[in-house]
Order: sequence, then C-alpha cells, then structure tokens
Amino acid sequence: MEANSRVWKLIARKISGELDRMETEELDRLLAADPELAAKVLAMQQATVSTSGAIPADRKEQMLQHILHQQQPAEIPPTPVRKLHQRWYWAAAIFLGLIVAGSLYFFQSQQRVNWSIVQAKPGTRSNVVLPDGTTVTLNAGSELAYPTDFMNSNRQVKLTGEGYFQVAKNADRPFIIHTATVDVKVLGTVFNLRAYPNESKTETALISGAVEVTIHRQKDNKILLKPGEKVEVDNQLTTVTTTRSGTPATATAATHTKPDIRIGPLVKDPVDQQVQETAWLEYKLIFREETFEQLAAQIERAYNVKIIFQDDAIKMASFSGKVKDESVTELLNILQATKHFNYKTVAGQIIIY
Amino acid sequence: MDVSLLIPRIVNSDEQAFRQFFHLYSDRLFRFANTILQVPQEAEEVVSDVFFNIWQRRENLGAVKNINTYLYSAVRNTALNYLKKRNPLASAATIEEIDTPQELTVISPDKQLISKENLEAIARVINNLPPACRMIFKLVKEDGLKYQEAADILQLSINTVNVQMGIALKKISQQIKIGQYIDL
Repeated sequence: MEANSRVWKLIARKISGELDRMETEELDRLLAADPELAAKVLAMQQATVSTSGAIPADRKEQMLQHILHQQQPAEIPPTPVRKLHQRWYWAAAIFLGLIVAGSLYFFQSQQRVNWSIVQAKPGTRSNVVLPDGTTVTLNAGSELAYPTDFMNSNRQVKLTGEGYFQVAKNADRPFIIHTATVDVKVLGTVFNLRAYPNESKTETALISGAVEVTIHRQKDNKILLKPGEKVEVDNQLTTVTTTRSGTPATATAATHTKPDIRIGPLVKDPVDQQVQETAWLEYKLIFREETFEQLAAQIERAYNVKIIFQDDAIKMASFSGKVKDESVTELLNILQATKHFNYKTVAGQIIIY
Repeated sequence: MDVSLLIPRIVNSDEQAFRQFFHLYSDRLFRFANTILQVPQEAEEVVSDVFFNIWQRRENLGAVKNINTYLYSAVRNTALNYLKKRNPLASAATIEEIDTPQELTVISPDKQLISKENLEAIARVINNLPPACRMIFKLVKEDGLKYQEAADILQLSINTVNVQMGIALKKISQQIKIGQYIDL
C-alpha cells in the first residue's frame, strides 16, 4: 500500500511536470516493471483536459468597457444594449443551454494534424474560445473543429452548422473557416456563418471588419464583403456541379453552370433595427417565407425534438415570423394561428398531420 | 503570450495590455469561479469584480510575486463572499465544503485512437471526483498551475495537492483501456 501510493505520487508529479531528476529515475525503474502502467501514464501525460464554458464575447467587451471607462461598448454589439438586466438574463440563458464541453485529447504522432472538436448538440449552445483569443458561439446542432496545435499551425477551422465568430486580430496570420460550400478568410472581424448541411444555402453575414469568401467551385471568384453585407451561396447547385462528372446532370442543374450567389444587405427588424442574421444569439427563431419543412429542421435543432410530417401538403406551407423564448408547444400553437394543421406528440416525436 | 511583459504596461495604464491580460485569464477564472458558485451569472460578476479591482489599483500590480496565485486567490475569496451573501447564516465557507457536480462532455479528436465510450468513462471519473480533488486536478492539469500555486490558492498543503493528484490519476488510469484503443 505504501509502495503503491508512492508510485502514484510520482506519477502525479511526472504528469504535472513537478518531477526532479532523482524522482524521474526512480519512476522510470518502477514503470519499467509495469509496461501497461507505463502506457497509461504516457496516455495521461499526453491528454489535455479542458472544460469549455466561457464568458460570452459581448459580455467581456461590456465588462472591459465598464472597467476601463464605465461606459457602453464602442463597437456595434450583436444585441442592443438597452436593458442591462435583460442582458444578464440572456447571459444566464446562454449558459443554461451551454454544454459544458470538456475534451481529452490523445495524440499519437506529431506529424498528423489532430483536430479538436467542439459540438453544440441539438437544443444546446456552445461557446468556444480558441487559443488565439477568437471566440465562437455555436448554434444548436453545430460542430467546430480546430487543430489541437492551433497556435503553431495556420489559423484554420472547420465549421458544420452555424457559428457567430469574433476573430482576434492578427494581420500576419489570417483566419480561415472551411465549410462544405465556401471558405471564409478573415483578418479580425465579427460575423455570422451559417452552413448547416441540411439547408439549401451557406450564408456569411458580416457585422464589422472585412471577410473574403471563396466558393469551392470557383476558386478564383473571391467575394469581398463590407460591414452590413451578407452573401448567400447555394449549396445544392454546388453539390450538383461537383458530382456532375460521375452522374448525368439533371435538367435544372444543367441550366446553372455555377452556384447561385447572392450578395445583399443584412436584414434588419423594422421595429428595433436588430440584425436578423444574428438574432439566434438571443434565442430568437426567425423565419422568412420558409416552408414548414425548412422551419421544422430549425425547430428540431433548437429544441432537440423530432418532427414528422404525415401530410405532404402542409410541408410546403410558407411561414414568416419571429418568436422568442417560446416552448415548442407554444411555437406550434402560434404557427397554427396562421396555417391549418394538427399535431400530436407520440413517443417523444411531434407528428404533424 | 508572456504575462510578465504585460504587467509593467498595465501598471503604466496601458489599456491594450490590460485587455490582453483580461482575455488571457477571464475564461479560466470564470470556470474556476463557476466551480465554486455554480451560477454562471454570479461567476461572471466575480470575474468582473476582480478585474475591476485590479485596474483600479493597477499601480500595486508590479509588487505581485505570482500572478496566477494572486488572480485565482482573488477569485476564490470573492466567490466565497458571494456564497456567504447567498446564505448569511452559514458558517465561513471553505473550498472543501463545496459540492459541485459538473457535467462534462468529452469529444475525441481521433475516434480511431480511443473509443467514445472510453473517453466518456474517463470524463465521468473526473466529474465524480470529490470536489476538492477535482478542483486540484483541474487547476493543475487543465489550467497548468504548479503544485505550489494550487496549494496556495486552495489553502492546502503542497503534499495534499500531490496526494489528491495521485488519487485522481489512479482513478482515471483505471478507465484507460490500453492496447484496445491506444496504439503506443
């Protein structure tokens, strides 16, 4: 028992980087007699543990403004700063939904790029702070991958789903976000990138700074966005053109030789001037002339529910509106006010009929 | 980023340096405060209070011997004061009395290397460590603090820190399945 606790004290010191030379020799001798333990020690030494859970970037800016100047943020925040207590409420809400994501990384060799993955599962949010200080708020059902060795490699990440990025400025090292349809290159800026695989388009909405969007199918066509602008790139057509070599192109695909690209201003709420593209940060669900089917995909992500249509006609019904802080039932009741449909909950699934 | 280079600039009222300093520590300190308080809103307030005081008395920052110990201790004390405010009748709260189960989701960057179940088992062990043990483990392994720093912050002996780290690692190692997933 005495010997056992001695081993573990030494192992703990080794893993914590507290071991001196004499102790190193002692531990090496002990581990030489127990290869399995030696392997475990190596694995634990190479593993990094991290609990995610961070202060939202806009709250940090608020804190800094308060501490340094005791005034409101100078930069345009994603949300209006009218009521402080309301913002606290949202800060708390974000954390309730936040998955406390921790990760243990086991690396095998130094040559390969090891990717660390942070997920926001359906019904949750996740806040990520990258080693360079860049912060990303991940919307429900999204995933961000970054090299484990982020600081010593290029600033490159992969996004599936939707993220609100506040990229730390570093002119020498551009920050590149890869998605299935586009790559977005930035130097230091705030923007929203929406790239859900089950949606028809990839949307890059710029709040401040500058970004350069490259479409995979047209590498030489670089779109520069100005603050307050967004670009939508059609995912479906990109996919069609990509796969055309192997399969015969359909009639609709043949009429398009390149992805549909739309550049336009951000959409603002006529009442409170809030930017709609980033309204999800406040748990607002916004839909503009979307089919029920498209809307259902959003609801499934945001509430972690499964929606099944038993009536194909209602799938195509179009909805426009904005809801905030409603339960799924409340939301469905609101939708029922504009279009006729029924729903029931069976075995945790919502059936629309 | 080397903190020791930022400190003299902060003492000279360099706001940019203070901002870097804030971003370097705010999330770590937030997580530490949240382990004690379990209320993110309060944990944010604690972090804000601590940095507010540092900026107000920035001319004293140059005299701080160990910035890690200084910051974490300030957060610890402020957080314990919040706990006392919450329940004024409770006797002086200490770190050991805090029981704060935390959910941890574990993601493997390389699914071939170690199975998801195995990583989840490891995370479960970490989450189920006794509060003081888990706090020590996280300060040392996650935040990279020295034994002496963790001991000073939690007001424990350095030997206690060593013993608790040993306990934590022994439990974790029992969950690691060597040969099955890890090719060494």
